[in-house]
Amino acid sequence: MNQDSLINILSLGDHGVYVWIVIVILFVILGFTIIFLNRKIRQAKREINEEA
Amino acid sequence: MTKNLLFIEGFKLFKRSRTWVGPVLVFLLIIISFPLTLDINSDNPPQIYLSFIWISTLLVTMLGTELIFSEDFEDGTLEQYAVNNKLIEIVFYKILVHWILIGIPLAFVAFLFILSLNISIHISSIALLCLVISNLIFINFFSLGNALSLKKGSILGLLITIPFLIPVLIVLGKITTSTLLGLSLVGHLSLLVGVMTLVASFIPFIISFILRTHLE
Amino acid sequence: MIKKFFHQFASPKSYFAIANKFGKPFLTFFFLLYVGALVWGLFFTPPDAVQGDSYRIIYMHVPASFMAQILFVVMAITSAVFLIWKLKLAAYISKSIAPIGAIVTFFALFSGSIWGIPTWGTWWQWDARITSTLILFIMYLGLISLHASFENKDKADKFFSVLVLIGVVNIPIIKKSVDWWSTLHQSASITLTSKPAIDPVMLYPLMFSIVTFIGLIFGLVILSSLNEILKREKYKSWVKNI
Repeated sequence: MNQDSLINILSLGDHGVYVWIVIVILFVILGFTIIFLNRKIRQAKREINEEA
Repeated sequence: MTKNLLFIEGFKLFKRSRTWVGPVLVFLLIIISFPLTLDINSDNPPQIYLSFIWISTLLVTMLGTELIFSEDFEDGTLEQYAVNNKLIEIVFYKILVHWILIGIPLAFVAFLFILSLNISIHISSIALLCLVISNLIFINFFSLGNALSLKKGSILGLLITIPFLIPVLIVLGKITTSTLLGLSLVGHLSLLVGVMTLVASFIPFIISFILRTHLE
Repeated sequence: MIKKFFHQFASPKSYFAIANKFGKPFLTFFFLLYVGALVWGLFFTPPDAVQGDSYRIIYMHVPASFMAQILFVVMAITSAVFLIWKLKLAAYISKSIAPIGAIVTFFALFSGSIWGIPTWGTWWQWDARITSTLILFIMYLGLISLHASFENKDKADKFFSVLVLIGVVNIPIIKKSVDWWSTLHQSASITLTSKPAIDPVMLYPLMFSIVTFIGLIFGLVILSSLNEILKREKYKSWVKNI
């Protein structure tokens, strides 16, 4: 892929910005959820080990 | 024995006059305020007034059924009923009594109000019929919501049960538009009656399950 | 022997053992696959004749809407299992699906709304699908707050399950009734029986993204259920030996 087509693909036409907004929000939400859940699980395991 | 229970429940509600006169008066005040917030000179389609009335009955039945179980729960009467396996009967009678003392008067007040707007008596009587039917449905669901939030007295249970009433509101709206267009109502009305029968038969069982769980 | 298998699997302890080991790899696997599906859909498919490039939101919006409804149905099944067979694990899984469902539904609404701006010029429309998805979102939120408002979590489980079961009956009714009331949303492009109204070039990445998204979200549900089990079984003896 030469530079022109790469820029074309990344900018995705005139309404492409909406697609990028949705992608960003999707990954923000997913990442947040995964990190939050992992943290909660680790915290719960730690608490249980401390009590034991 | 069964008849006695029904009369006891009816008498209890009747005695607490604030509980059943209140909602009717509040309803009257609300629907009187509606024309005041609209331009009386412009030709408002009757649909707007009818939709006000549906929504106001929704809110007022929510108000009116707030204490349906809480008093009995607090003084232990509900436990006695549960122990004697009479919970389902009691739920059924309470709902029936609320419908007779609150739901039906509400429908009549609304009927008079609609007539006063110079809407034809044909449409008004259809609205009366619809209100009588849908009030029973509303009272059932709001009792469900109150049974859920029994100990907290919070509005949470009610918030959860309002989505269940959205189809009923849509049917009411459809009936409104169909009447005004002069279309046949048989389909919509029978749907409404069908929903009422289903709801009134099944919801009391669910309510008694919820009450039983609360009492454990 | 099958009974023994079921009874073993139905205890929080054995479920936790399996989910703890395979949950994160499962999630990572489907996450990567879904990213692959997105890359396919974003860069290796032609732009739409009418909508240009903004149609590509479909690869995120459709899986999310689909998942929002599937999750509610799954939640209803586990709730029914809990109410009928009194399996605590079913209640734990039920409860853990609700937050994930809320998040997915929110994203479905959000992505649909953003997609509507270039496509229909409006960010909201009161038609059947959108309104019933909004109500679905409110129901998820209501369920979460209902469960949280009870101190006694066993009672909370029962109320939660009852409400989910009534809700699962209500969602199609709302959908049909709002449909009856008005309609704007494009009628289904993918049905099981009729020929799809969408070009195969776009259909295949869409199907792939739906399937991988399902896996991804179930991975999240597994994580959430691990969290819930740890929280609820905190004082049990088997927990000390993880």
